[in-house]
Amino acid sequence: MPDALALDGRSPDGIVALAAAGDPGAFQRLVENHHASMARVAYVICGDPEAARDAVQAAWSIAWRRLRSLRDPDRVGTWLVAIAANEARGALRNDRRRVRLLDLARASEARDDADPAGLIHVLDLRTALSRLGPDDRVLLALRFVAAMDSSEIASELGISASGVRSRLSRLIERLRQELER
Amino acid sequence: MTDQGGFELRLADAFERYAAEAPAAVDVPSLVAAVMHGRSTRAEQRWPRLTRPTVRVLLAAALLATLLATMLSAALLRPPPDPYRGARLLVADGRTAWVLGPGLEAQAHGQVLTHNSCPTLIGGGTVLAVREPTAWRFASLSPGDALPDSAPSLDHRGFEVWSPSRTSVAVVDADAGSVAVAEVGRSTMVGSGRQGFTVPARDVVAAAWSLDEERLALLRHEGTGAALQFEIYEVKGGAVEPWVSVAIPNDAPGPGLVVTLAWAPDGGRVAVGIAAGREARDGAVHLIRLDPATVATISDGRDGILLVGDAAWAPDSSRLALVAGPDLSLRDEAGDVVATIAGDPVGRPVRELRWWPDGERLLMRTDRSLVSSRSDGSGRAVRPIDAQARVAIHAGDLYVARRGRGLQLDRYGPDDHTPTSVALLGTTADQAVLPDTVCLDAQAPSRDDPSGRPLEARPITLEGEEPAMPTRSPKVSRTAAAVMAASAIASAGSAPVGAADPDSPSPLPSAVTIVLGEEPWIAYQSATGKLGGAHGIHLVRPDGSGAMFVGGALPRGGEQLHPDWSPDGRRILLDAADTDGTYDLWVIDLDSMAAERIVDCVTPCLWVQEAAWAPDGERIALQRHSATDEGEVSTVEIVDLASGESTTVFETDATLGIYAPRWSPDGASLVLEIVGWDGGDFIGDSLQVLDLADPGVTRTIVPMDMMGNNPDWSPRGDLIAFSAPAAGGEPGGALSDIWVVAPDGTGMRQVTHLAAEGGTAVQPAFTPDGSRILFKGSGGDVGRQDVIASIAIDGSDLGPATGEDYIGGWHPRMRPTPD
Repeated sequence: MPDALALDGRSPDGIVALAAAGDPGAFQRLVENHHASMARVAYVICGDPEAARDAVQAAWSIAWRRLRSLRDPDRVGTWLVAIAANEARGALRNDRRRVRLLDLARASEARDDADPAGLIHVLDLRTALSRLGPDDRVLLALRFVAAMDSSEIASELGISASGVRSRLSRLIERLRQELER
Repeated sequence: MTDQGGFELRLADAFERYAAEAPAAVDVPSLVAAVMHGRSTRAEQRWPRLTRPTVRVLLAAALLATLLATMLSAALLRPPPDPYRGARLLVADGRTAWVLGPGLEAQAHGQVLTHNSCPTLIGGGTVLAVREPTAWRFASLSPGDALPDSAPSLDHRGFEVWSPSRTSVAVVDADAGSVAVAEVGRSTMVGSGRQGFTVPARDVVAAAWSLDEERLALLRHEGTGAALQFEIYEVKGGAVEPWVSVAIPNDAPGPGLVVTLAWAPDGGRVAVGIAAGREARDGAVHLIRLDPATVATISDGRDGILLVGDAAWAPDSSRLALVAGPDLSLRDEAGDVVATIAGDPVGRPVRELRWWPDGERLLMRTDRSLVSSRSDGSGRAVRPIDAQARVAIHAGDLYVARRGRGLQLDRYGPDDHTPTSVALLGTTADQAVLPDTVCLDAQAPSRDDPSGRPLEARPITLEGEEPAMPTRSPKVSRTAAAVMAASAIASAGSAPVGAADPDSPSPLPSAVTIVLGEEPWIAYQSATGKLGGAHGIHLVRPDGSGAMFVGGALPRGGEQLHPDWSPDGRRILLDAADTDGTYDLWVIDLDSMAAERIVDCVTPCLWVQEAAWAPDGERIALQRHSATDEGEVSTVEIVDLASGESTTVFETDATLGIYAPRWSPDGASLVLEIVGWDGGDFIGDSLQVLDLADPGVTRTIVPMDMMGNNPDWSPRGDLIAFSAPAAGGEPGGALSDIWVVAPDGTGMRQVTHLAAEGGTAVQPAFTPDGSRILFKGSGGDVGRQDVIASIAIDGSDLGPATGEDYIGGWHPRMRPTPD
């Protein structure tokens, strides 16, 4: 085992600077590094893979145009995820009906036997999320899928960290009541 | 809320499983082309799932020949002396490597890196090994040496595993064949000692050396099935003998991802962690006992361990620590659970795990924090770091390399909450041109001295003119020379502190008061590398000059928010994250750069924030949120600074939340932001005025449905500024504008008009003369994102608050200055 905990790694600064200057290779590197995270967040917000796919592509288009305005390249990951979340939120607002229909379709799928470890079933989580508004889904996805803390969420959404904490704590409590009945 | 923590873990796990259903991969070139040329890829694109390429490992005859040739070519390098007398750290920035030994004689090795690659110290710590795309290259570590173009190299087409002392290497070649093992010599370049030899094994997916370096464990994936074969070869005296071979159960459809392959230091057991999915979720941890070989599955991912992650043995081999989601699971020799140790307070997953050499403490690294804890769970400390920081434990101390205005190397003792600055290297005035990589490597332990010797840490700064970028000269760079000069100063007893580095986490010198003078500085919060990318409190002149981080006065590294000036302009009130996960209130005295915590938020308190200094300078008002059985409740309190006595003047139940109290200029009233909740649903955001002569009753001046937030009372007392979102906007966020209203709720009018252009204006604060409003603006006429803007109260003259150019910042507030 090496002595350093991590022997290698790239800071995003150089890549972001190159991508902002129009370097296709650097932009491709950004896509390679961050697309999966963005897709995961968008999918949890939309609940639909096609909508998530469109949202993430739209997010990349926005990111491509706005890269020059990114002040802190260290935060490019959370910045990109937040853009994807925002696009997914927009998609959800525009297409609630389709997503709900999909939710219903999936709800009819056979469920596994109850998990002895007391895990929350994904289907239950999907159902609970479908009852929440787009903004609340964004908060939960950024917290639990993107693993952003309240301050990072606040920073990316441009709202106060206190407000994020309050909303998250209430959302978690609401989910607890729904999922642990 | 009794089981909130446990539920959150289960919820996080459910979200992970849900997110794992997301389309995982994309045709990146098509997407890039589409984005750059404005096309949709919908018609032609599919998202295939990422599949792990089949790993094939074949015998590297040609590789071995190369290796042997490499050994012979060792004479190209002169045998290096040992200028560092045995203890060293290697710090590199992707372009230049610096070696630090006792007394901190930083030696630069310019131009050694050509691939943004992190170098490794091998051969007993006297040879620098750099992994490049197709080969390792080696250079001796004589001071000032560069890596010559003709340096010996070692081709690689697979992966390599260095022995613990890095005197042997196992080279696994993906194309040619098998595993080549070579001893590289302890004090000289590759080539001394024994010849290379091969291990007759194929399809190797992971390898690890025993601590005594006489055994090599391999995990092989045979054929197309899922079975994994665990084998150990004895590698002694130039001979290779198979010793152990045992099958490992594997539920994964393929070989899985081997997350950890950890030998117990006593050599008697090996822990193997295999993740089945891309998210390292569904795998298992197996404990393999040797002699005779048995396999026991000690965690299968369904026993509360949500993530199969790193594993680490205690130095005495008595305990095994496993990553268990954000926490650690401590196992005894049989693999049974003996304790669970709390990890990151906000639940970030532990990425890497190490025991301190004392066998008492554990170190957990997440993307954004370093958490240390004693093995009984006590003494937990959380230190924020940025994702790019590199960490090493060396001789009982923790070293962290990170980027600030150069490469900063800090040292923490086992119980230190604040670091000692060890060195500042490669300083540059323009961070944008810094190389990408931060590297840190400690000298490999030798068999003779496994603990290494501690580095002598002294504060170091750069004197005089700021050095240029590291030179491309193969000789000692200017930067290193400056560091050495500073080291000499330090050793002479006049240790300078970080005056040359405005982002220094060390207390600033008292000279800062001279800098402040009587000028109307702007305080604001902004992300800083000195706090691991979190926000910290900065000052900047209204002409945009002199920007500096003043939050280094605080003794700990959490984020710092919501600055407010004392009426005399000599102190700053702020709230800062504590290691217990709460937010406390602090005051920085700018004359002495001393920081004092004035309110400690302790559980069930969640945070104390957005405090406002009373016009009399003797009191502050704050909002406190606390967890109760009925939910989250909030209070407004007034603290007398002289006595520390706190008085609650307003409180709510869980249906309301109070934020951002601000004083009227006569000190008789507070304006509050009050949020309404219906269960988990956000109802609205209102502004209400509390008359302190009649506490407990408020009057609404901005109704809930307008979503008013972040109020500020004008110095003249006639206006209250606030932000409010347009339709589709976020309270306090997107598509907001600044408004003003009289304290009686009349005369409401809009001041900024950014939302109509897609921009936003939030966090207003009147200038001390009341003529203008500073705010955080984005988009629209502001153009930039999250910058400090200024506008006259009549809505005219929008522009930067900082001279000609905008600078980034949140919650700007201008310093009151003497009339």
